[in-house]
Amino acid sequence: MGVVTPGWTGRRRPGGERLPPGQYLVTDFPVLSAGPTPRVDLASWEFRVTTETGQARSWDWASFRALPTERITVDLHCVTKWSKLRTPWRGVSVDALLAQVETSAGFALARSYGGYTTNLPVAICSAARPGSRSSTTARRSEPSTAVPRGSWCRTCTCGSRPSG
Amino acid sequence: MAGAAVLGRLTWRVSTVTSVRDETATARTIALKIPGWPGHRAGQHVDVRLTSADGYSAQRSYSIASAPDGGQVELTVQRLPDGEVSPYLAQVLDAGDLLELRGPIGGWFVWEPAPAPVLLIAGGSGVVPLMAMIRARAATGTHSPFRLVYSVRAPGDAFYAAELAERQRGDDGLHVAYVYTRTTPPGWPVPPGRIGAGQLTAPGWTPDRSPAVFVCGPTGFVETAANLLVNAGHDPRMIKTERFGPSGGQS
Repeated sequence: MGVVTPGWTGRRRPGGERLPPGQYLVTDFPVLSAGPTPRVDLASWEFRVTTETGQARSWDWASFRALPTERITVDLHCVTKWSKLRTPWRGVSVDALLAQVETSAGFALARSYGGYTTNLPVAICSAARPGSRSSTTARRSEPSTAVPRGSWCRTCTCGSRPSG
Repeated sequence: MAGAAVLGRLTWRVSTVTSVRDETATARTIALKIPGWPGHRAGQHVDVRLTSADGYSAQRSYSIASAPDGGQVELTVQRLPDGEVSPYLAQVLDAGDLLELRGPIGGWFVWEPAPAPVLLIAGGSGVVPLMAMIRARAATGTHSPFRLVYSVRAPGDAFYAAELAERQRGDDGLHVAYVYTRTTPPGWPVPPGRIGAGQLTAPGWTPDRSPAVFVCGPTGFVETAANLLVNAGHDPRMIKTERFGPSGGQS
């Protein structure tokens, strides 16, 4: 426990019992982008998986959209302190994508349009691992003031989606 | 070394408030002395943590307003009407009080002294990290051209107005332009309105000069400004953005 702040009691908001310590509740969708919203031509958009041996598999927009999608609803807890409860997602399971390549890599480097990268354990990307249930990516949306990102996984690592 | 630096940023420190001063009717600058502070770069922020007597705590991120200066750090906090943390910081906290924080945080939205021109676009309290850059430019004697385009609702909402005016005097390299979205000063040449393409350009500030661009403000403002800049021909890779608050808002 930290130093007590004299005279401050805080305000536990409705739903706050589901919040981890230090998180605050949002109902909107904060946008976290390091630069202008990328403008990506759907005709040249691709989603690519490259393995540790260099094997690559890619999908263009049409073939990506042809993949089976699933819907999940999860609580989103972002490292920048906001939490958004019962957030619905629709997308393609990362497992469905990884099933198309041979890999035993322990870690993945995710790279988005706009140049943002992040790395994380493959196990977190994958829904196949017990205890990890959400793993979706990429759905289409116009760039706007409220662009919810295509989520890679429930750790709130976000990638950009194509605009069209 | 890198590991130790990361641990340092993650460690909560107990700072002491050395002074507070009002910037506007709803915003206050808090000056802090932080034992063991490793220093910061202009544009970085800190996490602040408040803890109630029963152990409940809340954290928020606030940009650093001051230029790097040893263990001294200034934050400027805008009071949000429905806020849980900002009303306490902007109204209750006083000199001599203790405040827990950790940082500095952020390695992207930072300015390092360099000769290249810098274009700063601020919406409302988004001016805070950009002010740190303006102050750091002066503190380091850097002569790179700086232009700040600062959008506020009304003249009384502008942070640092007197200091910015003073800094512009005798400094040909610093230019400040205001955009008023609700109320203008008397005799202002244009009616109040949202930021537009015309306000982002100025003689000598065309995209071909490739200024480093920093945009900070509410999400809607940043989205608008960044799109205007890209449309005007600025290289998206030269534009760094920092967004805060709910989506759709605009200062």
